[in-house]
Order: sequence, then C-alpha cells, then structure tokens
Amino acid sequence: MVLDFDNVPPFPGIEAAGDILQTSDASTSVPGMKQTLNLIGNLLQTLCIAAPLLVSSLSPAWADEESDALTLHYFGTIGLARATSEHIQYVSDLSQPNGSSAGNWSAKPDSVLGMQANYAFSDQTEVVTQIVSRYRYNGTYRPEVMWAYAHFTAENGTEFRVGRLGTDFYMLADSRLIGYTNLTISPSLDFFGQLPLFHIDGADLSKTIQAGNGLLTGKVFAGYTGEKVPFGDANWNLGDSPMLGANIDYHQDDWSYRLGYAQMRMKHDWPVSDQLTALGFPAVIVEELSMNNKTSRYYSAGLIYDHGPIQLQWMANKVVQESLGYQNYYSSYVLAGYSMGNLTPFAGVSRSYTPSKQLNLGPDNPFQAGVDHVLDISHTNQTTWTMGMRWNFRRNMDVKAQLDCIRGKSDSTFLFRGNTLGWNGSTDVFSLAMDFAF
Amino acid sequence: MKSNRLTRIIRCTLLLALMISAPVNADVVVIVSANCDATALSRREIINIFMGRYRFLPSGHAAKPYDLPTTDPRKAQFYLALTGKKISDIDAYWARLVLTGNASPPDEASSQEAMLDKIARNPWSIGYLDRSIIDNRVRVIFDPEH
Repeated sequence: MVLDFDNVPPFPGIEAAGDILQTSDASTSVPGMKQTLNLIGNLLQTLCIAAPLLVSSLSPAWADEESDALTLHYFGTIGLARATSEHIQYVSDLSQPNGSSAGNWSAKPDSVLGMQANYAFSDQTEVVTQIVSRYRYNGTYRPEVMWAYAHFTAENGTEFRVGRLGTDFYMLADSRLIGYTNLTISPSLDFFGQLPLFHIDGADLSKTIQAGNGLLTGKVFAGYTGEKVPFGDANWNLGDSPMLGANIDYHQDDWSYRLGYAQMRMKHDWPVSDQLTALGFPAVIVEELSMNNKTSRYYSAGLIYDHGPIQLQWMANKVVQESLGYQNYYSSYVLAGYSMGNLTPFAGVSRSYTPSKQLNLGPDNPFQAGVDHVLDISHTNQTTWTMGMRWNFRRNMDVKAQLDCIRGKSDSTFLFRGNTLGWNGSTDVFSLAMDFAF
Repeated sequence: MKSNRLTRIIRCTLLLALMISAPVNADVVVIVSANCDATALSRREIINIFMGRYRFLPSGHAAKPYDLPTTDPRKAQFYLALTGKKISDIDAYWARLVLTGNASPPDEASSQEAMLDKIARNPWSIGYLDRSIIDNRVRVIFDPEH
C-alpha cells in the first residue's frame, strides 16, 4: 500500500486529511495476501479518517469520560540540531536525505508533528489512525499515515490488530517519534538510526499471562513494509517487502525485558545494482551485491528499569544481511536519567559497529575497488557519548537540551548523509527541543 | 473603608490561591464494590490494573479501573503513593502507550461522588478516593500509603 500526499502543505489539519488521502495501485503486482491486506487497509483508513469528521465530541486528554468514544491526541517536537563537522550531514535516521552540517542549525532531524484519533466502538473494539509530518526521504514534510488499524481485545485478554501498525520489533521503536515519551531528544542514532522502517501493513496478535511474579507477553506480527529511503540522488524503495517477527516481553515490578526477532525479504533492489551494471560489472558480482530478494534478520534484546526518579535503558541488536553487499550491523546503548523535581539530567553511551564483509575477487581484478566501495557504504564504527537535561516545564510539555559527542573511524559513514573527503569520524551534535503530547 | 475592602479582597484571594495550590494530603484508598469477589489485591496487582499491563482480578474476570479527573490532586497523590512516579511521568507513560496503540488509560470519573457510584454499581470495577467519603456500597481493598 502506498499513500500519496502530493501537493499537501506541511502540517495540515485533520480537515485536509480526508481529501488528501489517496491510495495507489503500486503494489498490485503482489498477489494474494497483499491485495487482501491492501483492501482491509484502505477500508480501515477510510473509516479512521472519516470518524473524526463525523463525530463532534472531542476530548484531547489521556483519560476520558466513558461516554467519549472518540479521542484526539496531538504530539510534536520542535527541534533544532547543530552538527559541528562540515563533512557529513547529521540526520536522526536513514529515512532523511540531509540535516545539520558545518555548525548550521537545522530543524530537519528532530522536528515532528503528529495527530492521532481513536474511536472506541466498545471496550473490546477500537480503530486508531495517526498522521505524522516529519522530514522525509523526498526532502519534504509531507504527512504520512503512520498507523491506521482496528484493535480487538478478547475477553481473555488476547489482542489482535490489523491494518497499518507501528514497527515494534525493537523495544520503544514504535514510540521513537513521540519526543515527549523519550528521555532524550531523539533515540540513540547508533541503535535506531539504521532502522528507517516505521510501520507495516499487516496484523499482530499478542497475549499476556501471569508468570511467576511478573507478566509474560508474547507477540507475533506479519505484514509488508511501505517506506522509501534516500540513496544518493535516488531513492531505495523498501516497500512491499514481506516482514514477520515475534517478541517476548517479561515485566516484573520496575524491570522490563524483551527479546525480539524480525525478518524482512527485500522486494526491491537497491540503486547500487543498476549503477554497477551501467559501469560494466559482471552480472555474477552484481547479483552477489544486490539486495533483491535478500533477507535481513533483526535480533534484539532490551532492558528497562524504571523506579521512582530513576530510569535506565539498555538495548542491543544484531542485523544479519543475506546480501554480500550490505554489512551486518551490531549496536548497543545504555542510557540513565534521574528526576529531580521537574528536571531530569540524563547521560548515556552507544556504539555501532559493522564487522566488514569481504568479497575477494582475486589479485589484480579491475572490479575489486568498486566492490570495496560498495561494501564501504554500509560501514559504521563509532561510539557516541550523550548527556543532556529534560525540563518538564508544564504538564504534557518539556524542553530538552542535549549534547552528543560522536567519535568514530573515518570510514564510519553509514549513519550520516553526504559525507565528503576529510571526514575523520568525529562530530559533536548540540540539540534543543520542545516536546508536547496532549 | 475602601482600603479595608481591598485588604479583605487580597486576603481572600491569597487564601483561595493557597487552597488551590496547597498539596493535598488526603487519605486516598483503593476501593472495589462490596459485591466484588476479590478479598485482597497486592500492590503489584493494582499497579498492573491501573497501568494497563494486566487488567484481571484474581478470579480471572476483567477489571475495570477508573481514574479521578486530572485536575483532582488526589490522582497525583494516588499514583505517587502507588508507583513512586510524579504525575508528569505517568502522563509520559500513557502518552507512549496510547500513541502506540498498546493500551488505554482508565476511564475517568468526573468526581469522587461519581467514582463512588461507578464502583458501587459494577462488581468488577476498581477505583480510588478519599477514605472519608466511602459508604457501605464499597470496601477498601488496598491502602497505597502503607
């Protein structure tokens, strides 16, 4: 499913949403389940978009009177980031084509505006839609339907959702755009930056049971991705790729743990293959480096401790790429915060690393340099030291200031855009942001 | 004469402001209907119900929690006593769950009296209010301060 918001100004109101939502038939080549999901998704989107327009009683609060079937929520971040290096563009994740560089302040990496409508038919059935505007792959703030799904809860607590769902295969991944819920301005670049996927069109099923003194939750999900990322002067379409996965969460008192697995089989190749073919690379090499029909596997673990004023997060992941052209990826971060009144200072450290894959073509092979260059595209080897302060200056609003000191090797370029000669792997990023969520 | 009236107005205004801003130190307790089959709930179980993690009573029946209005300071007092978290942290917690579609906060009762009525009517409901206003239609099942 591809949602087209052409000719829409940034940050439109909900009034415009019903008019601007269109679906294209870009995915009609994918038969069977995909078409069914498309149909369900289209129906749900129509319903979700129409519901706010039809019902007049709105209540922008977290807790609502029983009689309020419809609730509206707004969230956003007005952020400014300033990266010191002139040799890279600092972005918050790989879905953005450019950001801050050379000491210039940029609102692109962190600024977000979102609106969500929930319509509850009963305690067991609800439809939800969320529209988000942020700086995207095509260099615009064109709004995107981030989520549009129906949520069913059975009497025994089993939950089923179908439609467009947030990617939930890393802990906190589905809330990373909601700055007010995050301790830092934006989640760890090293950990989340390589994940440009925010939603899937599909379904998930979850169930929570009591286990020991805690709660054990299992979730399975499956669907199709629907996003693009900028890639040089072109875009790489990650959409239409089948994805499935599962999480196990255990929660006891102040501790939450998660193990997760997800896999995605790329439907579309990356632009590198066409470029290599045009340069005369042999087909066998192009195929080895291609991403077409290659599987990416995401393994992750996470731990959160949240007690009174203390917050602690640790996560680690490993991404294994079937393609020889794309590096396997390892990252981890730890973050701690301590609330003192309305102020919460925080500090953390993160690390991302790709143990370089090699594709040795033999001595004096004229294509070796090109192959090595391709392998360098997805290479990272860096550590980021983070410190900052969050100030809850009024209810549902905060102001944050943050400093990230990124220290890496000169070939650590994967998580940035537009790297130029002279990049030494190090930059400092100073960020300011105001978040709200109502 | 005019000066006295002005002084009285200022005093009343200050007193009102003090009453509004003063922290409430009510005896907030968790209540269920007198007809509820649960005889005891642990702090852990009550946290799970009010924080949307696991909304079931020990009998296996789905629990229906209610919150006081956000403007009622007893709500902040309740969550601080129950979880050790300030109301701003509770707001951020619910922002995450609501905006990711993972859970909904308790429905809201418009006042303590409305809370009392809702709990009294439904044997599977659970709420909290000042101990001083409870009657024989409900019973205290947990005291978060102890």
